[in-house]
Amino acid sequence: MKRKVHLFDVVNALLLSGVVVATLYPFVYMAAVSLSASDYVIRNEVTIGPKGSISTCTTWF
Amino acid sequence: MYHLVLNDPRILLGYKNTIVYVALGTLLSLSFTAMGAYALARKNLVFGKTFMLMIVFTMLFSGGMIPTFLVVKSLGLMNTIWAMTIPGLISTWNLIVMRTFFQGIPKELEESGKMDGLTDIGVFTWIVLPLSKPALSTIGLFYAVGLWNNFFLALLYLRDESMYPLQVILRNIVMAGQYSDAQVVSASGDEMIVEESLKYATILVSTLPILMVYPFIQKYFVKGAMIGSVKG
Repeated sequence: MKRKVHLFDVVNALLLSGVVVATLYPFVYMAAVSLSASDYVIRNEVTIGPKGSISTCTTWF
Repeated sequence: MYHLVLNDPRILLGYKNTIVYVALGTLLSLSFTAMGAYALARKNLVFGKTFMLMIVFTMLFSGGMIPTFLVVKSLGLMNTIWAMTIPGLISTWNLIVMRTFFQGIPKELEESGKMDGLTDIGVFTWIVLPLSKPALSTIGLFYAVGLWNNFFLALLYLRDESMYPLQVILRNIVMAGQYSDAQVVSASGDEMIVEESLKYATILVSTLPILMVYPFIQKYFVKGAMIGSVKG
């Protein structure tokens, strides 16, 4: 069965992915900041992935 | 970062307290809500309509914070586990949701239980409860999340720092920046620790556990309760 993609579906998907990003981003950001090395956090360079050498992170575990 | 957070004695204490509150509170809330909702779902309950009206009334009007506080205080609940579990024991909304769910259970099923000699309580425990696992787990999840995030009741009714749940401790750390400097320096050596990272790590540590529960409960959200239990 071939399903026609309506305009509604497109708009709906876009809107809902917007909602997903808006709700997920704070979590991702917090996780990234808490895992990053300090100097990157101070310089405000952390956005979605943790920055800084992994070795400084792993020493904490 | 996480090494620091997870080794903080206050956070461990908060975890222990919160888990106790959530376990006890969910158990109590769920059983009382289920029993109340089942009674209210029966059509032959004497004054059932009146009781329902009175319960719905509390959704719109409440005594307010200070009268509630005075009641809790004079009942001697201050500074006990019960202060965290009893004031919010039954959420009206959840009660109504559950009542609606119970009303959807076919009367014939209960009659079949009666035929086999069950009492009313027997019908409830052996027929209605097993059939409403989806509703029970969903409402239980709501209660558990509510209790886990419960900050205000603890703020009002708990004085003793050893009783504080995780959320109050989290607030103390994040809002008031109560990580003492000495502690941070001693644990981190010569490396600099940014307060922001520390706060975020604390927030994540306190939020993740309850977030992990959702995937396990999620399968019940969509489940049809009793497909094919009544024929004809």
